[in-house]
Amino acid sequence: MDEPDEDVRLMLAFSAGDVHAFDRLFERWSAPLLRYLERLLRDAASAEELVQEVFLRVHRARDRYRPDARFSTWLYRIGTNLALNELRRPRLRAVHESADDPERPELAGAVPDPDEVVDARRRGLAVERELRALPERQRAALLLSAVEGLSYAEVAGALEVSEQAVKALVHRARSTLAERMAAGGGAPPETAGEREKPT
Amino acid sequence: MSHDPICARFAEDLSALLDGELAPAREAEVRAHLEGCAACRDRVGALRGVDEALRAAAPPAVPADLRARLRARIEEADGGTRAPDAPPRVAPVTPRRSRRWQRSSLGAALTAAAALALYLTLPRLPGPLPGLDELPAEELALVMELETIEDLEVIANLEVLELMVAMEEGAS
Repeated sequence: MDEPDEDVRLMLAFSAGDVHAFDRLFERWSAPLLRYLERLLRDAASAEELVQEVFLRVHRARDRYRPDARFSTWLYRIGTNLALNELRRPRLRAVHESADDPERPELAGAVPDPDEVVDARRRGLAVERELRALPERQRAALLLSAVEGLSYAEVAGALEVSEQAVKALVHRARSTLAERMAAGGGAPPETAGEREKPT
Repeated sequence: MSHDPICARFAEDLSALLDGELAPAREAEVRAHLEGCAACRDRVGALRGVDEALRAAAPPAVPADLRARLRARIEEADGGTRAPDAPPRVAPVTPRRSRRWQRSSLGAALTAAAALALYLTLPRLPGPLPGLDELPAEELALVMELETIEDLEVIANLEVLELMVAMEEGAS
């Protein structure tokens, strides 16, 4: 793909002294980064702190920034490394074994009928619970690929592993979630084997 | 779930198919297999269900003050090299940093708070002020470089503080 990376352009502008470019990068990426880190860390407060830490490092790196990858890959790499370090600290393991957050998740999109709402909510709680139980790297790989939409190559850059390793991590993570959700009663709906062509 | 050895060859690629990560030749092979295998079709459906459930979750709201908190951390990082839990020391505050603090509402609040704290806590100066040549060199440098006195945590020595107040009063 040859699309220009708008974020690289903004980062280079920031390196050249344009502070508003840094604000634009924050506007573009604080929400996806927070979404990713909150589920990776399993804690909202820590995720907010880490989002700040990531952008602090982006800020510090302005004089030596070289665009050798997509900006988003670099951003997710910083965030993932910080999060994995944080997860290795014993106190986080003890605090965050807790159960589902009843406030989340909620449905996006059109209003379904009540039975579907109950089923979807049950599935949503189940997937969050099972996601938290995954090994960290599997959780990271699946979130980056399935939710954040990174390619395997980009996930490999963010996790600093091979693409083959990413493929295996994503496969294991998805399979585990599918099996546990089916076993736990939050069974996914019957769907046709293949519908749209994946993009 | 099928444990058919033929299906096992395709297991990992079912996930990659959903992600659009298969080379064209392999994708064609997998799709051909799916046309003839209900178990693998069901498997793909289950995997897709996981993704749908993951994406259906409402994302967390970015707190309105997150940018401001970041800005404060950047200012703090730019302003000195002191580690957050190191003991306070008398550190020179550059005039540029002082002016940035003054422009921010936080800087103005700190200035007001510092002024109030000084008014309430300083005793009346009993007599002649310590002469400049009696100050240690480090503290003299601090006195001469500071433009404002809003950053109280930098001030560790009350004599220096009294001297600066006197200098400000003398200047006004």
